[in-house]
Amino acid sequence: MFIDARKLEDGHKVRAKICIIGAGAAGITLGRQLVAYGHSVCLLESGGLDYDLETQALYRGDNVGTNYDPLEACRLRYFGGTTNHWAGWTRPLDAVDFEQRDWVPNSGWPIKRSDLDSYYQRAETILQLGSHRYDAEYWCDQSCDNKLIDHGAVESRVFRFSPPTRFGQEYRQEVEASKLLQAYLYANVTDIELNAAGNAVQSVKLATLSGHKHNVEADTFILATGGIENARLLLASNAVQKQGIGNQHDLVGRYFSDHVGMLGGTFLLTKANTLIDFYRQHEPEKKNGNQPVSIRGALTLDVDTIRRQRLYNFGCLLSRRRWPGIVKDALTSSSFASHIGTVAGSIDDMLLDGYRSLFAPEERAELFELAVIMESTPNRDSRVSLAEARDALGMNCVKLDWQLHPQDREMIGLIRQQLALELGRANVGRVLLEEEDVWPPPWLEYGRHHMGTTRMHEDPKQGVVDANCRVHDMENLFIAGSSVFPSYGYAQPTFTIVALALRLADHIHEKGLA
Amino acid sequence: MKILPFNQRRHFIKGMLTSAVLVSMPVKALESENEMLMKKLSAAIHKRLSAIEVGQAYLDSCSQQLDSCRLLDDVVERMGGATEVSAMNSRQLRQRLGQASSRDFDQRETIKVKGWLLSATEVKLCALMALQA
Repeated sequence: MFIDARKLEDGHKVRAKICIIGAGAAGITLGRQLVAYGHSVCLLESGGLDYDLETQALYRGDNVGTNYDPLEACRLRYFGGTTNHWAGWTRPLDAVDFEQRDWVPNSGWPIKRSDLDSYYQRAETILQLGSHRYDAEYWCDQSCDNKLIDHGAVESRVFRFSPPTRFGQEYRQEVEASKLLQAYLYANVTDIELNAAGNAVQSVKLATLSGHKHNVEADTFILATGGIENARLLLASNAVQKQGIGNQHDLVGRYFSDHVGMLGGTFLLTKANTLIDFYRQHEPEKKNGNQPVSIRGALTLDVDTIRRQRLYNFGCLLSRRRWPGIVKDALTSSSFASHIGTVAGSIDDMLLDGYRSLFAPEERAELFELAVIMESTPNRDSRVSLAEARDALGMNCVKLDWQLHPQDREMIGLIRQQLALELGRANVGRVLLEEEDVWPPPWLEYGRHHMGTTRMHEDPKQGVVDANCRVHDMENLFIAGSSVFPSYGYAQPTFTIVALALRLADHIHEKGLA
Repeated sequence: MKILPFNQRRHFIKGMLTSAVLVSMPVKALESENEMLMKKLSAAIHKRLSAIEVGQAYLDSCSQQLDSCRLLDDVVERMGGATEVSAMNSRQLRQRLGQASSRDFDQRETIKVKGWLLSATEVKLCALMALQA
């Protein structure tokens, strides 16, 4: 059921077994799953059921690092959270993303990809994705009889698209009808209160923009307010632990990261009968009566090559979209790219060459921009901290200092070079590699995926939460969401956020913590 | 019998021919062999103009002037040698060119021409065609 915190008598006290702070993808998933296990849950949401400016303004903060969106624009603060505007991209993290790799500083999870496999499958249903298939060959077979670009070390991967599931709409009725799930709206948590020993949460303070103040006591608390706000709340709750909760080792808010997208080059395709449409968002034909699913192919290199060349994990999207200042007249028939296409096409593919010579002697070169989405280096100097300014509820606003690691620049160069070499080696195309003068490049893209600020690590000196997402040295405080990602992969985080939330719900249920 | 590598064999033959000034026919034979190889290799790229454009762009970026004989030797060597190239039909030749190009990328024997990362074999073949134009 929904309860409007503004309409409760001031000073209201809520008593719950489990208190979840934040009703986005993680919070709603946790709440639904714990209720399914028969537990009663209190779910606290800062906003209402719809967007409102006053609540959204509580997200305001300062950007002092790499150029970034205003902090009140890159996330949403109402029931359903940022799923209210997500694009629906899903892909699980790869096994390699969980590994500690000596060429990726601070990398590695304390769990393996296989620990999440069953949760990814369950997350499929929640995100309305249908069958659990991410292998490119399968989807290529569903599409048509043409071939993938895959040759040699070049491999295709698949992104799939949720409708996208708007959690606030899709699960609203279920929450409304639930007797075990009490969802408090307009209920802003302003402080997490610890016991005197500082090793357990006793209660949280609530405030509404209408001036009401309430309090929630629970046995177990789960913080699920997003990659920036999770850190903000921990840092701001400093009455007992002066550096903020879980911050004895100065880790809360550090290692902030986002996925970066950069131009990997301009790709000239020289292989005939290649399934280029596979690399655009499309709905494969239903060969076996399956539900239509929207997918998009991407290129990468096989994991052996990634290991051997000590590269970061990446996916590369093919697009005809123009990046500013790139390949000025490359699509005209008289351009140099066209000559390259003729020469390389002659060498790589007799079929294509024969076709061109017989039927399309002036055919334009087929050019695609390679947009590389790369995992970034977990960077201790990239951080969320508290600003001096305060919001309408009196809480410190956040200051975001997003810093790309110097190794990111080097790595994007290596990936571009290796991808160009492998595409040439596979005789499927040639790549125009433009030199970068400025770092970060002006056309740097990012995913608005806020990760890493309460990273997972078995060692309290290196992570804020343990492998079960419990804050180190805190008996009853857990964290859900992408803030626990210790390294980031290149896949969009929502799928993994939901999988981790299901895993946490199981942990709390099985350990009798509720 | 020891078989000399292709380059050594060609230089050996060239040396022999140069010293044998009284015999003019073998020189002509060498020239005609080069012409034959050049003709075969050029036919692998179906639009000569494109190859010349790419080749000229490479030549323009080179600090030194390139010698067509040396370029031909280099390209033929990358393709497996004069004997093999001579015996190939056009289909085989293009297959071999594809293999040589692939091997170049594998071994990082690449050349950037106007920003494009190309195989050394294809660039040198284009340069050869530009020099002959």
